[in-house]
Amino acid sequence: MKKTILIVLGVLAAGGMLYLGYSLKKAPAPGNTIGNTGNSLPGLPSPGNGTTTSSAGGGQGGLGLNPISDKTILNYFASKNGVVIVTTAGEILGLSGKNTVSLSSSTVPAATSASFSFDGGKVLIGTGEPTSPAYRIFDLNKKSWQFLPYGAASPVWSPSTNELAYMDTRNNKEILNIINTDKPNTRAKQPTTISLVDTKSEWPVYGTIILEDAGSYLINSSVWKLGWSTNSVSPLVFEQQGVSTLWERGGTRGLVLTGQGRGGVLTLMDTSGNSLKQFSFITMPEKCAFSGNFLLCGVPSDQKSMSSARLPDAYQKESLLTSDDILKIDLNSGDIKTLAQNTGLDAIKLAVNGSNLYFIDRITQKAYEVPF
Amino acid sequence: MKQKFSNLSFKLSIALVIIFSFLVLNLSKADTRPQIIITWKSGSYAPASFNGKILPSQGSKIDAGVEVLDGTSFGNLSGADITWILNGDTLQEITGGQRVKFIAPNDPGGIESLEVKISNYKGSSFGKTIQVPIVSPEVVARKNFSGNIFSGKQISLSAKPYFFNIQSLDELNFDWLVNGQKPTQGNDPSLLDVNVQGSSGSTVSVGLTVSSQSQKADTSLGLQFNP
Repeated sequence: MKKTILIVLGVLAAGGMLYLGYSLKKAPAPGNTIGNTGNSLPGLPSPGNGTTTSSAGGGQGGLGLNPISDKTILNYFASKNGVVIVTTAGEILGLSGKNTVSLSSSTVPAATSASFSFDGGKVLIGTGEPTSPAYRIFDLNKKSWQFLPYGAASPVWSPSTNELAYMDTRNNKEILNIINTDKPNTRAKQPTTISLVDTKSEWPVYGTIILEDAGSYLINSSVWKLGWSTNSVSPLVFEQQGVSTLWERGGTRGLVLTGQGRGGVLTLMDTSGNSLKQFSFITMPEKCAFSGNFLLCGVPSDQKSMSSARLPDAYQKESLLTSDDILKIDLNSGDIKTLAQNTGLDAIKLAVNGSNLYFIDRITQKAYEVPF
Repeated sequence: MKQKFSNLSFKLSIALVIIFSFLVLNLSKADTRPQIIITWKSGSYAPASFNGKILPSQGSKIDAGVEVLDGTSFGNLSGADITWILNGDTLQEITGGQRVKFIAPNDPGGIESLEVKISNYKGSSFGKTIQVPIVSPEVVARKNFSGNIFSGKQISLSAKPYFFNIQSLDELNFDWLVNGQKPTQGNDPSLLDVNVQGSSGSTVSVGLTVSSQSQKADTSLGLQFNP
C-alpha cells in the first residue's frame, strides 16, 4: 500500500513539474508587461525630487532659450556645419551663426511635414491634405528633387543609409516598399505584404521596421516588430489602451506611453518587448530623444494636467499645450539634470548635436537650442 | 494480494501519466493557436499635424483588415474562409477576404462590435471581436500659448477640426465669436487674430462653431489677460 502511495505521489509530482515547466515557459518574461507595476523597476525620480539638479532656469526667452531663427519650422537637422531647416512656408534654409542661406531655389507649397535622412543629406517633404498626402525628396548636395509614387504612405528613412521605406495599397493589401533614393531608377524592394491598416512605421535598425497601430484612449492598439529580412513578426505592445511610442534611431530602445483613460504610464522598453524602466512622470514619447545613455525630454511642468488628460488624444489634438522643463535623464543611474525649467515652450523633435540640445516649440513652431 | 496492489498501482500510474499528458498537450495546443489581429482606419478628416488615431464619426468610411500571427510570422489566409460581422449582421463572407469596407452606423457616441470568424485555416476555426468607437466631430481652438492666461497684446487662434466626413477644409464653415461679437477676419476663415486692449485681469471669451453640410461641432474658451 505504502509503495502504491509513493508511486502515485511520484507520478503526481512528475506531472506537476511537467505542467509547471510548461506554464513557466509560456508565462511572459518578467517586466514584459507594460503597466504591470509589480514587474516595473523603481521609477526614476520625479522632476524636482531627489537627484534633480538645475543648470538653467527662467521662463520663455530665459537663459539659453532663444529661437535659432525667426522662421516657423517643420523640422531641422543639426550638424557641425550648422543647422538646416524646412520652414512651414516650404523653404529649405541653412543657418550658420547669424547667416541664413537658401539651399533650394524653389519652395514647396502647402508643406505639412519634413524628415531628414540619417546624415541630413536628403530631406523628405510631405504636402497636401492628410487624406491624400504626397511626398518629395530634396537632395541637398545635388540640389535635385525626386517624387514618391502617388499613394505612398507612412514613409520613414533608414537609420543608416539613403533608403526609404513606405507603405502603399494594391489589391487590398498593404505593401512594404524599400527604395534606394540614391538609385531612383531601380525598382523598390517589396519584402512583405500585409493586411494591417493605418499603421505608422519607424525604422530603428537596419532590417527591422516597427509598425504601430495608432493609439487613442478609446481603443486598444498594438505595436509589432517586423523583421523584413527574416520575414518575422513579434508584438512589442499588445492591445493596450492609448498607445504612443518613440523608438531609438540606430538603437534597441523605445519609449512607450500607455494611456489609462486619463493620464498614462511612460515605460522604457527594448526592441525585444522587455520593459526596462517605468518613469514616475508623464510626458509624450515624441517629446523625448535618446542620446547615448541619456534620455532628453520636454516634461510638462504641470504634471497634474497631464495625469488628468485623455492621453494621447488631448496632446495630439493640440487641445493640451504644455509648458515644459527640459530634462536630461541618465538611464543608468536614474539621475536627472534640469537643463531648463518651466520654459513656456512645448518641446518636440528633440535632437543632440555636439554640446547642444535642439528642439522645436510646438506652440510657436520655432526651433531652440540649449547647452547640453 | 500484494501482487494485485502492484498491478493496480501500475495501472493507476499509467492512467495519471496519460491524463497529465493529455492536459498538457491540450493546453499547449490552445495556447499556440494563431493570434488574430484586426486593424482598421477611418476615412474621416484630421489636420495634417495630427499623428493620432483618426476616429470615425457617423457615416465615415471604415476599412478593416485581419491578419493571424502564427508563431513568428503572419499566416497565409488565402485559402481560409473569412466572415466579417458588424453588430451581429454579416458584412462579408469570402475565402481569403482579409479586408472589408463599411460605413459607420449613425450612432455618435456608440461602440460598434466588429467580429471576424476564420475557418479552414490549417484545419481549425477561430474568431475575434473588437470594439470600434463612433465619435461626434470635434473642433479645437488652438491658441498661441499654453494654459488660459496670456500676456501678449495679440491672441492668435486656429481652428483644428477633427473627424468630420470631409475631404478638405474648404467643405467647412467657421463661425467665430469674441466676447459675443462676430470678429473681423482675414482671408483664411480657420484663423483668427484678436488684438487685446484690456487691463490686467480682463477676460476674453471665444466661441467657435464649425459645420459641414451634415455635421457640426463647437467649442469655447475663457482667456484671461495678465501682462
